[in-house]
Amino acid sequence: MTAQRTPTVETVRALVATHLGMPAEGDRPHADEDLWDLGLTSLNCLRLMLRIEDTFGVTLPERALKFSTFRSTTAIAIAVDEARAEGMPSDNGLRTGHHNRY
Amino acid sequence: MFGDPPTQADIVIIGNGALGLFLAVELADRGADSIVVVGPGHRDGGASQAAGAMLGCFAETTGESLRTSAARCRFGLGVAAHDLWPSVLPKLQEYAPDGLPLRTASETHVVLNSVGGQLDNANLTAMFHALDMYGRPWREVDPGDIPGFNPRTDTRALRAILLPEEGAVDARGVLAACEAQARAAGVGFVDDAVRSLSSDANSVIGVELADGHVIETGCAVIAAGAHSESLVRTVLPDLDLMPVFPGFGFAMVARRGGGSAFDSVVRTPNRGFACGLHVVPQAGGREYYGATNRLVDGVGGATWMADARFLTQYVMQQLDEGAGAHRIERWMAGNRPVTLDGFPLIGWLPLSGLYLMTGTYRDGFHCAPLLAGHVANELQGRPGVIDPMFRPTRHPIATRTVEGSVEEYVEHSLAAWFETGAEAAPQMTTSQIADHYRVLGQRVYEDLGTDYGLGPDLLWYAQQSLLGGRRLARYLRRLHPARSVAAAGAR
Repeated sequence: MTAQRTPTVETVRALVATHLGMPAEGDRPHADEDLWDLGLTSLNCLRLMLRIEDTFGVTLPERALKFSTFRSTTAIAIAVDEARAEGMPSDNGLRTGHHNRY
Repeated sequence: MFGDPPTQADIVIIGNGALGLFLAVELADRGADSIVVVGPGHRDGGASQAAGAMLGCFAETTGESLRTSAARCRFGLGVAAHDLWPSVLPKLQEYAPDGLPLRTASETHVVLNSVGGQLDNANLTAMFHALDMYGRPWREVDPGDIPGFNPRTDTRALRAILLPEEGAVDARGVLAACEAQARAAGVGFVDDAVRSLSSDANSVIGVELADGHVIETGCAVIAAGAHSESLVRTVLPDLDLMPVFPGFGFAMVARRGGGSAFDSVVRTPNRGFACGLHVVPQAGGREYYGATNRLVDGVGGATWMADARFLTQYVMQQLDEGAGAHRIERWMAGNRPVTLDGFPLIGWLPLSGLYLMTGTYRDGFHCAPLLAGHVANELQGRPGVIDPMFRPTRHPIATRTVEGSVEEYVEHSLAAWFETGAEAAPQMTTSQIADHYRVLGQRVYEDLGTDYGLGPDLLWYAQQSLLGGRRLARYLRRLHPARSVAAAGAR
């Protein structure tokens, strides 16, 4: 995936930078820089995810709720744009399009 | 059931676990007709079919059990249910498959060993308090005198408490007997899952099966365990129902390879996010060993290798070192319905004719006879027998402060640390390990942005799962938006 400086990528970059204690202004993390090398951990990923959802007003689809989604700002931006395209309704935590059976 | 499923019923019970089956029998006994129970005959993933079915409530006591009025009310349900079983079993025994004895133990030994951490001591102290408060008998015995109990020397028990009134039933036998009794009373059974419910503007009007068949009804009871919440949402999508999570558990039934058999339930106190290690005698020279507990994102039936290791290793270490030669005949995985506040969801939903009974966590089986009577009363327009505080449309019952929740999480984490044989550098003290877990717990609260005190199992889950963490955060922030803003602002 080509790393483009879309508005989504730029907003994600600023959020991630703040989350990782880097200057919000500037160009890091770079689009494909590994966030886990920069201090993202399984323990602080939840807060970043919630902040991204809050900022963009989206609900990331369940398939995106894995740590690999947060490997780079590009990967996060793709997940955000997909969530916007799908127009996911507000989260009730349950799968959509999933047949309820037991 | 032979032939096509019915097209109409007065009452459809969704779920063929202990709650659904006992309710069906109760309603049939009261003369209700046209009752249909829907659920897959294999019951895979259900909590009841995997249950140890210890008929015990005092052995389950924790420091939380009697600390708050809501917890005391909940504990009282267990005690009341316990007192019902002796009157339920004789009739049920008539329907037992192959005449197997349903009651497989009549007493319980709670053993205190040094494997589980201080939490074991705290829960044992709470158990003594509860037993004395309710005036129930117990006595201290020599751990060496417990038939079958044969732990490794380095994990031998320090104390053992006999509870002469707490036994166990064969869960799978009871389910079969209950279904047979219900069938004999005219209850219909449909071997299928439910896909959705349907309604008109005010009322439930039908239940759609996985194969598309529809059963028309004016009354549906959802007793589908960890699946219940998603079924409710098929007709009440916007209802702000408290989240229910699957509490995945693993257990096994083995045939003894030799040595002297257990003739009582032998168990540790509740510990490490779970229900303690236990063995429950089963008919035919078999024994049930349980159980693990872990909150998970979705109902499943496959066990983690780590769970299999956990259970088999600790059975051999802590209960019977000869168990390595036992033959495992059955692995069981069940999903307990765990609510956000840990209390059950029982009552009418805001749609005429729709009733919910779930959220019973680890003692739905035990409480089933009591809840059956309660729900049957409510369905028939009579007063219930349990406190209305457990109505399903409530907000979460608050029983903990954040600080108390974190400390409880620390105790459970330490218990799990020691039980799993984790090791720190010798100069590192237990309180330093506790500090580590305390920071983790506090951090989760900062992330969630809530001041609602969660149980230790939920706090653990929020750390493990982005989906789980998000469900908790979103639900709790909706409930208390001002607090979440304050918490977010404090970052």
